[in-house]
Amino acid sequence: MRKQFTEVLVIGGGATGLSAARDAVMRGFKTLLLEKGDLAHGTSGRYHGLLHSGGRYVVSDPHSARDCIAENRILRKIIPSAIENTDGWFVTTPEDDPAYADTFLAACKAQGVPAEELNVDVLLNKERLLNQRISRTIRVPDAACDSFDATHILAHDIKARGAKVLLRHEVIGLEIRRQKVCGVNVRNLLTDEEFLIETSMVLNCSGAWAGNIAAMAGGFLKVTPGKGTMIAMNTRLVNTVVNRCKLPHDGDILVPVGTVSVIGTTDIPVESPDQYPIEDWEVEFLLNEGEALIPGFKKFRALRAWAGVRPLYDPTAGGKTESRDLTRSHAVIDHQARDGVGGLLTMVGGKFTTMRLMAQDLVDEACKQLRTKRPCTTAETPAEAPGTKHYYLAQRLNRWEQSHAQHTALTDPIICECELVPESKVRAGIEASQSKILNDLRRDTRLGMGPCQGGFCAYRANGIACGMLAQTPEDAHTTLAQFLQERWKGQRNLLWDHNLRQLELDQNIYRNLLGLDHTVDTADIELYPTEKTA
Amino acid sequence: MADGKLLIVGAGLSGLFAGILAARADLDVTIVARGQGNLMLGTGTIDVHGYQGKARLEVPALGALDDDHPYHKLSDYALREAIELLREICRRRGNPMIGNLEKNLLLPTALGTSRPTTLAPISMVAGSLRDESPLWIARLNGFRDFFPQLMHNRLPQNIHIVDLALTAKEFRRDAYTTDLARMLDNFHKREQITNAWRKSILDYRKKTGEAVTRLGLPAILGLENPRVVLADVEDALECHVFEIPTLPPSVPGMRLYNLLRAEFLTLGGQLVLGPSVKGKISKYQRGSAVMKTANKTEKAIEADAILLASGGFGHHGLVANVDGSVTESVFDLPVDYLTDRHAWTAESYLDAHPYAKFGLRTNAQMQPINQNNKLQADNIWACGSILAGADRLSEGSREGISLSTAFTAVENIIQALS
Repeated sequence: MRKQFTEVLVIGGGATGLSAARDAVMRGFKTLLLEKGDLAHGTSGRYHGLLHSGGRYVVSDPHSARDCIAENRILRKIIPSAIENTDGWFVTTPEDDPAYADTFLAACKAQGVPAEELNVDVLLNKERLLNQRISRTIRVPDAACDSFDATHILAHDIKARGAKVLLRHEVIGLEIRRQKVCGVNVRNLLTDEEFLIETSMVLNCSGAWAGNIAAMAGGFLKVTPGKGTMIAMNTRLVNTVVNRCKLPHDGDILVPVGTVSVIGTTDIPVESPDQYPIEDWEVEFLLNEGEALIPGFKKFRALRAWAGVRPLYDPTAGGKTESRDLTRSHAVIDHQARDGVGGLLTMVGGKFTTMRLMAQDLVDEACKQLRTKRPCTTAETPAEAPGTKHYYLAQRLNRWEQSHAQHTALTDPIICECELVPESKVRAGIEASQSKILNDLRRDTRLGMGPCQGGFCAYRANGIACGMLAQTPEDAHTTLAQFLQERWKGQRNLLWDHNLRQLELDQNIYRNLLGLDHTVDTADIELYPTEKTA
Repeated sequence: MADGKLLIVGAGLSGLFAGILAARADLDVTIVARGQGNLMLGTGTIDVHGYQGKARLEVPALGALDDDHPYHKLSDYALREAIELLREICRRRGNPMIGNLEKNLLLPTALGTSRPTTLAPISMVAGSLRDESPLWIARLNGFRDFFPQLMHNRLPQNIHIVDLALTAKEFRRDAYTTDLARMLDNFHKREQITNAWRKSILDYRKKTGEAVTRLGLPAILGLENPRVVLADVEDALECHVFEIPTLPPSVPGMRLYNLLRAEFLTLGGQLVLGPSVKGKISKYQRGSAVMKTANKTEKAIEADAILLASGGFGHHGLVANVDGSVTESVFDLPVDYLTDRHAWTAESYLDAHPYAKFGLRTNAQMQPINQNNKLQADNIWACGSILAGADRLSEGSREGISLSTAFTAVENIIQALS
């Protein structure tokens, strides 16, 4: 069996794991990260896109609020291009208690979250679709963050600093000697090859799946997967983040992300982080809540529904079940102290906005156990080139237009028109990942995430990938069918009006014009989570 | 001959074909449509019945379809006469359709699967998969809507890819099939392109020693005069050339649309594109309609008979609502559908989806009826993709249903008005 060695081994390629790996490699550890799927394959890629100002937690969870505002400021500096500086507002709709705004303002002040109440017309003149009966409006420094961009930036930075990132590698067991984890047994899911990676310290950042890793060390760790369902609306109904000014509840945030806006979320404890179907009532509930913010919300096109699982830590293990009550702040679990097994630390809880701080706390503890003192420098060191600007809506269009202004000929056609992904980006994505999985390309480029949900671009990207990766046509057809099947999941709950029209168009392309249903056996299409190709 | 005013809602295949039939019978016909219908998106072929389950049919097997299928409401000559008539119009207007009801043609798709159909434009038939000789397929460098490397080798025919030069400098923006077709319509540009292609073919011959006998191109061979474009390209390349339908917009479909539209207008029909139509049914069971234009004005349309050719979900004839109900968009006629939305679709994207069979229920005269078989209005008929009971994609039956139900509806309208 092949053997490798690394000082720090991080499990999980989401926001937490990538931040932890970045922290470790910047402190000079030889670092390796394992992810069983793709970057942001789990919860990070199913997030609503809100970079918290902390406002949401000032009343219910002040500790989290303080963490959020500090990290909000830091992330704007270290991953600027993943963030759109949208600002955020807390608004009192006719359904909310107007007095709560005073409690909220006082709490913001106490926790150091900048908040300013302005005349309602300031917001209502800017956001014309909002409920005109909104009575109070408070501005906070919320922002929108694209988690695919963020994780890709971090991964790129980590690799540039010499760390290794292994995607589609699953942990199958821990090597424990003398009460200490000294290695991790790994399976490459694409080749089925198994091997051992020796290591001094394992950082378990597998989020909602953390309990599985802890169990391999003989520990029992109760992580309650809290399902959060979100709906992407077809357009940016708002250009700023809009929160209901009330205690955090379901369906009270609307976030503009890229070309869409996302309403979220529900919060339901579920048994398994791998199986959590979206229920009809959730969709109906979210759309109804949207009506309070934007009258006529239901008439706008709801593009796609999806759910993610929050890794909520339950220290009482089975006591409380309301998952919104479980803390959103994070904790480092030392399995030495807890289960008598050294060399393994688990990060539980937390949220996307505080990923860097979580990593810092985790690696601080790792340093302590490894008996070395190395300062954390992640907050001061940007992951992107100096001068990188924040994302703005017309950025892709601008880049594309500029690149074409220099040529008289059009040589870089747009492959995904909805998300403005040109052929050069598709090729770069495939070149870098060498992945036959079109869904990986989606996470790299946003291909297929717009209104047509892959209708046109899937065939085009498939044709390009087939040539670049020397796929057989049969293999390529399976790839194509898998991608369409993955896109299908998020559409099935929302089949009315435009979405059903869109489905007719897309079905006409793939089943009538192309005859894809006559070349692949649908039973062969293996689905999420591994997205493994034959 | 009858006289009277007929309003047709929808300008897809069934609407235009019905318009032609009615105008030939001297009715005063107006077609009002929001857009141009499914021809723009399809293959440009006439599919009557291609599949039973996943199996390809050698011959349409209408008897095997469910009892409530639209085909079973028709007289035994409707389909045959409709097909003959369409073939006659296409031939006369310079874009002949080849094929017949005795045997399905088998033509390649852009993924290299074999697709059964009844009629295909002459520009497609050299690709017949009943011919076992090899296929050469053109890869147009820089064109994003056609990837011959995705055509597989499950076919008995060997497939070879030939790179043809396509100079991207022709375009100031992304090229669609229609852009290439318009270039080929232009005599001078066509000459330039075919010369460049000829050179590519000669190079290929020199390199491989293979003589190209038949060459497949994406369906781009001109919108205006496809026969001339096809002949010129074949002369230049010294081989048979055939078109393979690819991503929309559909050049062969647009040709068919243009041709039917011209025929309809020549017969004196009126075509109004853009407005939507809203109708109501009086207590005396008579339907009446108004057009709603973009500037929100409403204009009454005088009509003795109204034919709904307004399409299925894809073209707004049927509308699915957020509450799980389905409505017919013009008269709010009763629609056959399943109330449980979970039952509308299959788990697998590529399987047959039950919602495809939703639509209007009609009697044998093609007049909408409710679930208790009660006639909804004396002067309303329906045809085409709005009709319930057919899964057009899974059966490969879209155009056959459109033509034959339009034929039958107009036959009944003429009878009712005379």
